[in-house]
Amino acid sequence: MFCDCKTELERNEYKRSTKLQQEADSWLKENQPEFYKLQRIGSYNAVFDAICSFVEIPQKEGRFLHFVDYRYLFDTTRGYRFENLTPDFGLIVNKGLQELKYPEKDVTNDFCVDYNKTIDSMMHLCERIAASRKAAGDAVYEGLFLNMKDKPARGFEEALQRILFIDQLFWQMGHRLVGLGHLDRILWDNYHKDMQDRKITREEALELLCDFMKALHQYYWLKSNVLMGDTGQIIILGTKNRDGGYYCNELTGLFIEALMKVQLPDPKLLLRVSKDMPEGLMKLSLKCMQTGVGSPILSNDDVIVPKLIAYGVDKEDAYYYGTSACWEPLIPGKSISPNNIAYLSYPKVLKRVWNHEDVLEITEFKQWMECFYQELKTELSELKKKISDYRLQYNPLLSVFTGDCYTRKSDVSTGGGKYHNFGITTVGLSNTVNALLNLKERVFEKHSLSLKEVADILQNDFKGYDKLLNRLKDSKLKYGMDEEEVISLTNEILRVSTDEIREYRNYLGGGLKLGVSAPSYIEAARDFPATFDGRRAGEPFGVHISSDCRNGYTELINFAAALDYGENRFNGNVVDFMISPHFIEQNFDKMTDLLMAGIGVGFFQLQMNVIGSETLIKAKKDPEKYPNLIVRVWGFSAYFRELPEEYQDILICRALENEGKAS
Amino acid sequence: MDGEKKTLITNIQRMCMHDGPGIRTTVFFKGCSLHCPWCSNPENISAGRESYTVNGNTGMYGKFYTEEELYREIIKDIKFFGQGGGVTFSGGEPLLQLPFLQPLLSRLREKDINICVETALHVPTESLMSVLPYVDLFFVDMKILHGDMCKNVLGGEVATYLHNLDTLLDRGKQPIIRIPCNREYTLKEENFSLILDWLKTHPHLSVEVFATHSLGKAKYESLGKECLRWAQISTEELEEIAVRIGRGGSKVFINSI
Repeated sequence: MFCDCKTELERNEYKRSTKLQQEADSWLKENQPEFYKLQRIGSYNAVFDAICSFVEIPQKEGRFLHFVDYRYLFDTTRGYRFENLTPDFGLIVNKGLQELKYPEKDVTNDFCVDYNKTIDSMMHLCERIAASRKAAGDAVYEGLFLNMKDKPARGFEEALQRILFIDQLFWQMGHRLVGLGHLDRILWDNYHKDMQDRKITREEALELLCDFMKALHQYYWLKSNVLMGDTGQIIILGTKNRDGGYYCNELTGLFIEALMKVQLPDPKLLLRVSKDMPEGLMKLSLKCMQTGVGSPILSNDDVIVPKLIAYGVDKEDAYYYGTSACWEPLIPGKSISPNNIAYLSYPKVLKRVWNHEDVLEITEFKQWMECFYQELKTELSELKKKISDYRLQYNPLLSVFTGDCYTRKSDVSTGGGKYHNFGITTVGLSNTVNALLNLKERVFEKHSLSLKEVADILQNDFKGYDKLLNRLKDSKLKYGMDEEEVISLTNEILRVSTDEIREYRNYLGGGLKLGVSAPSYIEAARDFPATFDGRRAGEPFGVHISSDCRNGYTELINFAAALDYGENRFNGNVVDFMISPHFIEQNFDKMTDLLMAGIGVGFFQLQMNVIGSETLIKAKKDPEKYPNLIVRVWGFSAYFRELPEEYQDILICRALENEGKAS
Repeated sequence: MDGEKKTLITNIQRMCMHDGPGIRTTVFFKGCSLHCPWCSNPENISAGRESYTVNGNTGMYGKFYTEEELYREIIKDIKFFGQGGGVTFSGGEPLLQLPFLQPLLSRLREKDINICVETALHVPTESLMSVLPYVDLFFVDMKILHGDMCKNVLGGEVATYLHNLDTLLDRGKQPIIRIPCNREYTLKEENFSLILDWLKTHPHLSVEVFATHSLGKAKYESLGKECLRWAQISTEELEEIAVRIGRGGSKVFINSI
């Protein structure tokens, strides 16, 4: 295959330069002209079938077979790409492909025909792989792939291989950020039976999971979305039970142990937590985080489940929630909910206010806020317009693994899924809240500056106002503090945002959600002018729910818990800690107490960057010496050396702040 | 002051991990009865507000809190305190202002909040007695037991100190003894042998040793004061000290700050 000779680092560069698609195109033009043409004019099923027939089946390198032939990647430029979704992998574990098909008598519309054809193509690929394994003298995997055609998985290893097979098809078909779902639940029966029958030991199961993770990691460079590491391969573990208590099993811990062992940034783990969870599981998770591998991220069922139910998600589904690539809750196998289709920039709203003709005439903070809310509504209406033409592509493959499509006999693109709510993220809420608090104090209360002076200072990017800049940064009230004034202002802004999108309906009848997790904190800030929170032009916005306040983690958790995530405001709200591995080591039990107490206090989600500034600074200077240093960015883990410099810098800066070393 | 009794505080630090059991909020009172040359919190020595300058920016050390304000600040983290955690009163010398805060202590007790005090015990015995019923755990500094040295270097009376320590022990309190180690003063043989002797007669008490350091340098500079330099004490030396104390029967912990 082409570009196989390249080193991993070269491949990363290669992918980013988008040469991959160009090279694939010219290769196809020359060697597979029929397919080249088909990609452009063929139906979904024709292309899918060709892909299943043409992809080259490699030899098995590790235990599992998991491959993507990037010459035959599905052309996604025809419309919006599917991303941030989690197919129902339980279906392929518990049933053979044939069993997923419509019986002849039930094939009553075109969708049913395409649906069955899609499964036939998959079965055809199974046969091709089985033949390839047979030729390699591997009777076990030959049998395993043949068995997938019409029977349920016969054991733990087979179940894992099936998930890998279906997963690779999604990547092959151009899906991005493919979540993996509740694998501790999905795999339990096969694991449990193998253990009972003494077919595997716990140690062997751990090895299998390590190999499974390595297989998923194999195409890290190809699977990464905007940034390296942004693959969305998220595995959900543990759940609060609908009837009380907490569900976890031996596999829950085994997945965490496996990640600790393989030390890969991808796949990522998300542990659903609840006050009813065993403390031992939290300790194991903390140990895993302490290794710096970047997960698990914690997602608080005690807060999230009631919010989902209140929004209209069926109780049973709400208890089974997972998340998109990072944090945005969805129902695996049921939600056709692109959860990150746009972002709302709060500082942009501030900028709109400054652009008002009569802004300098404002004399009261209340008046300023009225103007702010008016502009917030305008910004949101424009955003709604921007996403109004968002249409999902016809996608029988996803429909096979989206439970309700079968019964509704309808494709995911035409409402076959159960939930169709779209989601947006937000950015710069912390900068905006801090800027507003500063304006209130300095302009409208103390009158130490006029609006005209502030406007000039911002326009001149604080030139000659270094002292003011530092004082603004160091204000007595800031985002992240559990002070009533900060909390109520933040909540008011969130609620007004909600008002404007409450009635929104997309073409499938779904609503619009938002969350305060802010993956665009660099991108949105790059060309953005200075803001009155003490941020110079171009400097990044705040990261998720984080704070540079000195009062530490308890205050931030209290603040996060006091935010109102009701109505449609649950689209990912993560608290982001910087913490040094030494600190966790020294205070392990107390850190466990902190997290367990934090669940009760009510954080929505929480993730940790376990790293010291010293290591980051050294790794930036000398990346070769730190090839495997993993950090947490947005909602995923990534190799530090592969991040753009500005992301590296912001991590260093936050680590220094956390250690009290920031200048 | 609005005519209302207020307490002068320099800092309220939340999520402290080292000032007692569990997760804690530590309140630093301003004002001390001693003036240890190695003090790492020089802003807590004077009992009045003090101005400081950092990077050209000026500010004031010390903020007055009403009892209600202080209470509200402490209970913010009540859900994190759990069974063991709570509040630690430190300073400065907390026993200078704490006796006037008995209603606050009483309210905290009612909420089952664990109360620790970090004290040098160079205070009138009545002050100690007045807070005794409310405090779960005392951390008591043991710095200089040599009478003249104590008076000249720290400005304290050994007799008062030892009497207060006995008072604690007589009332069944089991303080944790903290020894700041520096060659210039506390480890001088004529002093350290007195410390060893005292500990030998109280082998049931836990002891923490730590080296004095220059971490307070920036604070000294902000006050326009000079920060003395201390001959560095290595971890190995601290370990040796711990062994010497341990021979008398005490359980010793090395606190590497």
